[in-house]
Amino acid sequence: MAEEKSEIKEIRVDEASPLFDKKGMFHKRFKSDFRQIRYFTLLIVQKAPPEIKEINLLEQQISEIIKNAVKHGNHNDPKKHVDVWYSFSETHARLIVQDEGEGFKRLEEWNEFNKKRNECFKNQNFEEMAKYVSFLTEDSDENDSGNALFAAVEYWNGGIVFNKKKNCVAVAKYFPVKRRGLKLE
Amino acid sequence: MLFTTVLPKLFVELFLLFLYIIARKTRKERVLTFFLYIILLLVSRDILFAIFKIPLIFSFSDFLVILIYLFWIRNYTGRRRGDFIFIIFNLAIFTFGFLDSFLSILNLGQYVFNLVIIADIIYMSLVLGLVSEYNTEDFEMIASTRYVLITAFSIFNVIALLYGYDNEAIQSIIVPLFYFTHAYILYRYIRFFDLQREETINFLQSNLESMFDFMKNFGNAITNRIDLDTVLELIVTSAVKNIGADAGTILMVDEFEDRLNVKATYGLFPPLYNVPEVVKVKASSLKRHFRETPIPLGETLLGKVAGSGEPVFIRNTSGVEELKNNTRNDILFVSSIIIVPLLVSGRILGVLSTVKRIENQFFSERDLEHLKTFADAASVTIDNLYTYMEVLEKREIEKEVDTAAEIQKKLLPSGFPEIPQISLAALNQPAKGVSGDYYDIFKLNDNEVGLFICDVAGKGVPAALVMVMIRTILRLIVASHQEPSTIVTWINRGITGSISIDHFATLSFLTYNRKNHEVVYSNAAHMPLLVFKKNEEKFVQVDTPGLPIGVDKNTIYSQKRFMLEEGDFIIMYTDGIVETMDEMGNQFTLNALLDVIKKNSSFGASEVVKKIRDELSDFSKRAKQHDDQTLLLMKVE
Repeated sequence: MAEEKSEIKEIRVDEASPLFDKKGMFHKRFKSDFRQIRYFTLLIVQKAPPEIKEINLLEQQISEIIKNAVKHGNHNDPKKHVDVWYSFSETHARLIVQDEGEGFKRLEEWNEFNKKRNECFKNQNFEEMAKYVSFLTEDSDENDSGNALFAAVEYWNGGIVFNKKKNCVAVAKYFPVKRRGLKLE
Repeated sequence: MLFTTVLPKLFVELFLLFLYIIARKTRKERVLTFFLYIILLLVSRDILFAIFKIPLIFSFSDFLVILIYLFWIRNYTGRRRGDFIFIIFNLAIFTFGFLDSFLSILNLGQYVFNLVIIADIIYMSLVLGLVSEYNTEDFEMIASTRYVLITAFSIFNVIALLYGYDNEAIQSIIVPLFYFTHAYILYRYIRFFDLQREETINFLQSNLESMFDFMKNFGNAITNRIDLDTVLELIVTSAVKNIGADAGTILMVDEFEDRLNVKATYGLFPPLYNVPEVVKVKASSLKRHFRETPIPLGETLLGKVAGSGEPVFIRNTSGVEELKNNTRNDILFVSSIIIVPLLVSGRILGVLSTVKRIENQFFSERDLEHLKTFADAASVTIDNLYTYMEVLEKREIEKEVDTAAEIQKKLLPSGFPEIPQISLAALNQPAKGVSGDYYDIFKLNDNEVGLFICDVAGKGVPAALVMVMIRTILRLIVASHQEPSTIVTWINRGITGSISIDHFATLSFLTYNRKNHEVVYSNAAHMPLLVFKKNEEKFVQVDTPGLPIGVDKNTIYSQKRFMLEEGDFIIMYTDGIVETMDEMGNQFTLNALLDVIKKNSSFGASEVVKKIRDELSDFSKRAKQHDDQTLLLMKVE
């Protein structure tokens, strides 16, 4: 019965976004070693309080962002580093990931792609939608489904923002506060 | 003459008054006052008639008596538009009648007014005839008196029409006899009222019994296993059975969104909104549809009750706009519905609703009262249960946290080996719920000491188990006097891939020989070793390349050798030390740590560690500790 939100989420470029405020965040610097991504992720996510439910989902999403930085940003070059800033509480998870690569060049293209995909879905046009199943670029390989970002824009409900160079991304997720019953006015 | 016509009437009126006073004494019913009005009216009209001898007074007062009875009936049925016309019509005629008798305009005969009264009686009969159990609250009482009322009024007025009010026999016999009608109705009313009171007592009794029954069932349900769904099912089932409903449901407010979720149903509780025809075909699909469709607060009757916190009772659904989907002759049909909120100290937890689904079967006010009492008890029960489950959940988390902390505590060395020319100290402050740090100090032989520090990624019991595994492997191989790089390599080989879950750790191991002052150091991605050179008053960071433990089984770790001099320090620490946060979110930093060590480098190891601990607690003040803090310090004396 509830009406679905029709607003289409997209990735923004805004260097002045408050999501880039690193105050009070922990920081770690990693080498671009694909083998260690699981470890990096665990190291970060261990700071999340146990009250956060679905911690596995959070871990998975963080892992995707670091993977992007290591693989598509730094092209697995072990001389290049990935910097991660992070902070967690019972109600939020914030992450800033910066790589030393060229930046996400096709960001606008992706937004356009995502918009069309969503429109197809809204209009129940599944034939057309088949064209927008996955977003692949020339450096994508057989391990990339081209789907991770679609899930990410849904998951990071506080937004996904890139800096101008598009090699640094800030994301935020807000967890709803559980309540029991409703206070009557 | 006066005595024979007036005295019998006054005598009967006195009897009526006496009856009224007795009735009033033990019954506080406001409705009884109607009878007092009738008695006073009769007394005054008889006195007035004795003085003025105008028959019109008699007819007019009869109209007033009928009017009082009409009000009495309307007390149960509610006002109708016809009454207004009835009153206006009578007042007009009688006003004219009085004017006419003084001014002699038309000289209407008394029989005209007798006919008016007979018309009034017909109207009253109509009103009484229309009373039925479907439209009237206390139908039984009216039904048991209406024939007497109609018959007595009709007979008396027909006689009056035929023989006139002036007739002595009528005044001395018929009128007083007729007055006994009021006595009879008063008697029936008292009887009815007493029965009703008795019934109320019985109702309260059964209400109480069903509550006890529910409490007993509830007690049984939770001694086995606490399951909120079972308890909600039980509440609905008890509610439906106790008030004789056909179906019932409980909806609870969603934990995050402003909507109601259907949590339990008993019988076939139809949705109070329209559903697709396909769903209506089978009862099972209708049930599923209802169960799986959340209701936004404020929408449909159920959502409205949750929004306002006010109960809704619809005795007869026919013609109710909000239930237009449920009044057709199909599977959604509902004849009567009660919805009560589940309220605890001003908070809406959900709603409880019961329906009757058989035509012409309705709930009563009592059923509403019954369900309200029931909902009260159920709300408190549900609220307590939630609280209890929250405590349990919290205890569960804490239990895991405590278990992990307990394991960690037991793994840490309880004291330090005594070795000449070496002073050792350690700082270890576990953060609640983290338990990832571990350190160890060994006396390898008379001249050699081994220092080990480790930070397991992850937390809770899994992390603590990885810690146990590392410690076991370490203790096994340290005894075989291997080089530090070999020890780290072997630990990695033992941990990586040995169990299916991912487990990672950073660690470093070093040995120091007091005879040749040599340190051999190997690192697996842990914080680099800090060395304070006393002579140069500066710090050196020592590191060896290598992956964290758990990433690659075949990693070969390397090691570095270097010399120490008297007064030098070596410091091993975990990131929890330098990442200590103050209330503003600022971090302690490595430089702050180095400053403390440098400033206090003339002291022994334990004094320096104490200073570091003080500085850390000064810095963080009341801020929450995010991570374990561990630091190992060795000073060459």
